[in-house]
Amino acid sequence: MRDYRIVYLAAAVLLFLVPITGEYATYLTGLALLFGVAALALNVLLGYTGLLSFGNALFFGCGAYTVGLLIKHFDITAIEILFPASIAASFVVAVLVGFICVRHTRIYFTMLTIALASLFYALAHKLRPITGGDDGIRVYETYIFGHEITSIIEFYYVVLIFFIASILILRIILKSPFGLTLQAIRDSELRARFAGISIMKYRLGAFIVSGVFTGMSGALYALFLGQISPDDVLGLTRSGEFVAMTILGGFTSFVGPIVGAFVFTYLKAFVSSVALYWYMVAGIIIVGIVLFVPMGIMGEVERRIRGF
Amino acid sequence: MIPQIINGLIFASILFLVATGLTIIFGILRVVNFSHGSFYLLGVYIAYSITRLSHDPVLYLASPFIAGTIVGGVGMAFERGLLSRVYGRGELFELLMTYGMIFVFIDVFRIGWGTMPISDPTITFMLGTVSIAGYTMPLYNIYLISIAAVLAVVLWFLLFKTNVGMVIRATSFDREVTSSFGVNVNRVYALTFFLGCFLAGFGGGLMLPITGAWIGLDIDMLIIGLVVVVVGGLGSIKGALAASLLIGLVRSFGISMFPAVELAIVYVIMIAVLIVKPSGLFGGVEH
Repeated sequence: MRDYRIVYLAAAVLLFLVPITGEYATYLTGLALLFGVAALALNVLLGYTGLLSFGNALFFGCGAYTVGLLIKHFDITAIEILFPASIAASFVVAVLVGFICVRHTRIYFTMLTIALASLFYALAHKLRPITGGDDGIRVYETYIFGHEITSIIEFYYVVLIFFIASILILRIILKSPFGLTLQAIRDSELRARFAGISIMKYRLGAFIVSGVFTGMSGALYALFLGQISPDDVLGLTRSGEFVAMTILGGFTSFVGPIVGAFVFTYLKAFVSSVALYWYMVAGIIIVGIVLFVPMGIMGEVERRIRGF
Repeated sequence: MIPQIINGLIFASILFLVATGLTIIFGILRVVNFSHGSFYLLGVYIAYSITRLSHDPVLYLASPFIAGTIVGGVGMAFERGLLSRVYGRGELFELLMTYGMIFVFIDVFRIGWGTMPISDPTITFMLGTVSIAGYTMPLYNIYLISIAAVLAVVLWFLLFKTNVGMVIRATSFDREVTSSFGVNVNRVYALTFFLGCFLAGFGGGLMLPITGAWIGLDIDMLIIGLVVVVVGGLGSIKGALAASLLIGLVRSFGISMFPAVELAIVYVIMIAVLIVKPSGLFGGVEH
């Protein structure tokens, strides 16, 4: 085994230095970091539990709207209150939604996640007096411990700290007996059942972990971007982007989803700036990955490193 | 009451066409076709282009059939050319491919028909109106409901009373055994995809005079189609029919009574059905 710690350290230093390159690069990288956590959280379900969620925007939107609604209706602007509130909200939603979804597997699970995310989308869209409907909610003038965050660069560091902390915590969770049990269930549900493992409980656990981390990244997304709308944070295409990022990077690798989130975010920004047809490109990329690199970028890299 | 019922039946007819396509494709290929809403939307756009050729009422009435056939052909080409290459690699990749096609279609629509919503109610004026229980409504609405009902009967006849239908049902029951009896399963797959996409495109063509098309309708249609299929039971045509009627009518009454939460009611029904009967109304398959 080679030691990759040096690679991780170099990546961390580079991420720390990103703001030198200007506001736009900082903004893009901030988004990539947030989507990276969301894709990683999706992979807790997809890669480690074998459940494909096409509705994780539900949690992303839940975190984002918790922030938005608290600011809009209660004038709460302290991030140290908004952030834990988002965690609590996504936890509660994950438990309720998970209770319905984890009784199903495979395609049934996937379709249920879509339908339940659509329920929240429909509510955010239609309850205009509360959620602002299509126009969404503006999120501004937020404080951390009394200090107002004004520049995107300051916010970038908040996002970076969240990103590093999330990776470390998710790594620990997935290496723990809990994480290993999830993989055992993924590989053979029957064998795990014979070993006396409560499958539902573990699947619900994975669902909650995925939901809470996605919710946190959604909350920071709202704060970082300053503007949320149903289509942006709750739509099917948002859920689909998390899936596309995860597959692009490689769902069999721990860092795959992060790599996918970075490549996807930069590529989207680049293609949108030079051509009108980002959607066509995105569609062709997704179809192309499925056809030619089904294990994603990191899956391919790891295969080459192992040398077979 | 009458207008809500008629509107509900129109909506149910379209849902039935879309959901039956989804459910047949799933029943045979074990793939949930995420681009189904895009095939529906393609049907509306093609019907629009066909009716630009001439303002002949016959052409208007024929346009859903032509659009459906073209959309079915596009669907079959997609299944043969792309989707069939990933069979056996797991449903994740099959799903993703049909999901990716949604985006390809979005730009095809933008390039081909622009970004503005399109609609053409000409045929509803040509056919005039009809009175039912004191309510005046376009005759086209009644025509739409009747033609969907006729199509449901034709579909039932095709699947349950013909040899082709028998082969299709046999394939959905056990692919290996059917194949060992000398049936070309690939041809059954292609035919099924044609049929499913034909139904979506046909439904789209029928709706040109009523709702028309806009980008975004593809995903809306996909999601509501999935809800119908989940409520009815995945793979069950009877279930698709029952769930279409249920959701079509609920939505129609919901729109007139609780416009703010009309869509939410539909999802609440879905959740309620799934808690009571996880496999859907007519789904017998355990999962």
